[in-house]
Amino acid sequence: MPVLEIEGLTKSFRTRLGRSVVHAVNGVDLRVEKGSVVAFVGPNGAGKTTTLLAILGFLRPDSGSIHVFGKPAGSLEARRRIGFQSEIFYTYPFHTARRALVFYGRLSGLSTAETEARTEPLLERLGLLEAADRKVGTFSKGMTQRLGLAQALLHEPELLLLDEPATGLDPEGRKLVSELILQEKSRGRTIFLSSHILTDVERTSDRVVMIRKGRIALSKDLRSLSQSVPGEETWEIEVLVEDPSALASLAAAGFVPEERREGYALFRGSSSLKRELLRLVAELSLEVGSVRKKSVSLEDLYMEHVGGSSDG
Amino acid sequence: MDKLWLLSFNTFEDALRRKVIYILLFVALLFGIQTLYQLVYMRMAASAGESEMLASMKGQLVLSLFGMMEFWGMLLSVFLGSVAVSSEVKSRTIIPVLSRPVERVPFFFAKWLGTLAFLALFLAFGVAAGLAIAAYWQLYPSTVFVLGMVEMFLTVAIVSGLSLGLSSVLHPVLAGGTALVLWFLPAFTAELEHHPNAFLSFLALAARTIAPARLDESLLENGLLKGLTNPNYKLYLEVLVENALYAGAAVLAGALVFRRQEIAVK
Repeated sequence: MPVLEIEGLTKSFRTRLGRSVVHAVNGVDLRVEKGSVVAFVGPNGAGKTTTLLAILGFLRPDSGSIHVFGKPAGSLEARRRIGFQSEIFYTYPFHTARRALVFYGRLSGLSTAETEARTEPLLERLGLLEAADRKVGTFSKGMTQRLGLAQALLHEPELLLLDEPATGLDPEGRKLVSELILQEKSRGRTIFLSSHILTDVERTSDRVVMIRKGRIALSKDLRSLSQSVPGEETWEIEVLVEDPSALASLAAAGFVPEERREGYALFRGSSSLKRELLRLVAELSLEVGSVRKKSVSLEDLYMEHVGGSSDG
Repeated sequence: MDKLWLLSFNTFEDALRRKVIYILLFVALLFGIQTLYQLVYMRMAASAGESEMLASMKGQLVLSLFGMMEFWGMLLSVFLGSVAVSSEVKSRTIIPVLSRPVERVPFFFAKWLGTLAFLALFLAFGVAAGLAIAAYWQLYPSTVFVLGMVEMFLTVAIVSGLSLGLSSVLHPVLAGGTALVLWFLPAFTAELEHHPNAFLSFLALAARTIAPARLDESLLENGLLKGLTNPNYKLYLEVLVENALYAGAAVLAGALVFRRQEIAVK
């Protein structure tokens, strides 16, 4: 049984006067297996937060279904096993960090003693121990975010839902979040996170699901990114073409460079293109600058599948 | 139950920290101070030896203090009741609360209980001050006066409950406004109940039916100034119980709507 299962989720909103309908999420299917880290990636307005809010039961789907541990989304049984951090952690400014955690811990069903026992180590883990008795209203954005993460982890949920967990964090804070995700993964937690920061996603996630205009654009195992299929690689070949006639000869054979820089012409293509180009280059006695296998990055995938659809 | 009290206490604390409350209380205090001009007339009555008039003036002054408290308590009830849940949605503090295993109906009731605790504290301070003045002037309230204070508390309970309940379907401003209209409705329409026009008479009757119950007499005034020989306790208690149930029903109806609602926190 998957930890999270979304089938045909559709959610639309009416604009203020009800004149038009915005399809926030349109037929989303998604499965998150136990112990995996799945990143939900997409531009602003793609439907990430709508999906997360529907998982928590704040929003009701127009059609489709969401099950968490086999229970309907929003049910008490489902929420009991979820830890959620929103993009910005909104909490009561008059609480101290310690009191906020006790408050949320008790709302999660923990006893006061249990909550208090967990509070201090968690604050230490998130670098907030020194600020434990400070009012949250005096916290910086980064500190508030870290407290948001602490409250999501407090009741040791089986499923962590993190909405842009690195928002407002400095590089050190981002590193902390990435490490924390990896630690939680090693403890067997399932993590579903939405993020814009592709390098962090690449580092922490097992699978990426890209969403574009409310539809799933790509679902890919990230471990396969580093393992390219033989024969399907993309190659980059730099050839020194100081003589314009050499370039004309290459063009006549169908090799048009994608870029020109400092006397070099850059060609990109498959293995067969590489072979034929190198043969011709040898025939023309041209000098080869470099031959590189181009690796596909998450950013390449992002640009290919969802690039250019941002609302933000 | 633990969660209910936890959320209620949090709401109480949240209300204590709302700056707008203190602005309202400051304005109320200014109004209170303004009534002290009556002390001048009281001194004049004392120097003229008008002891009966003096006693009556003292009673009226204490009564006006209680009346003002009820008025400001009602305003606070409208404000705190109508924003109790909507402000949580607006500030999104509802997200980390309701993403946990917290039922929405107890959450809604907790917002009301926390609000009531704040209003009770406000009234308690006012009542204590009023009773201290009354004792200083040797005015001793009767049992009916105690019922009057219960009625005053129930008034804020009804108005805050109605405001909160209505805020689940209406904008907070409209919810508060409608709650006040419902509270005052019988006073506006009472005379129309025996109007020769059957339609107007029906409307007045309908207004009385949907509005909270109101006594024709002031229990505070009766209990402080009039020595009632035969107080109708049964009627008083019936009205008080009916109003307590009315307040609870208003909150429950709002909570049931809220339970099924989407929470647009985006």
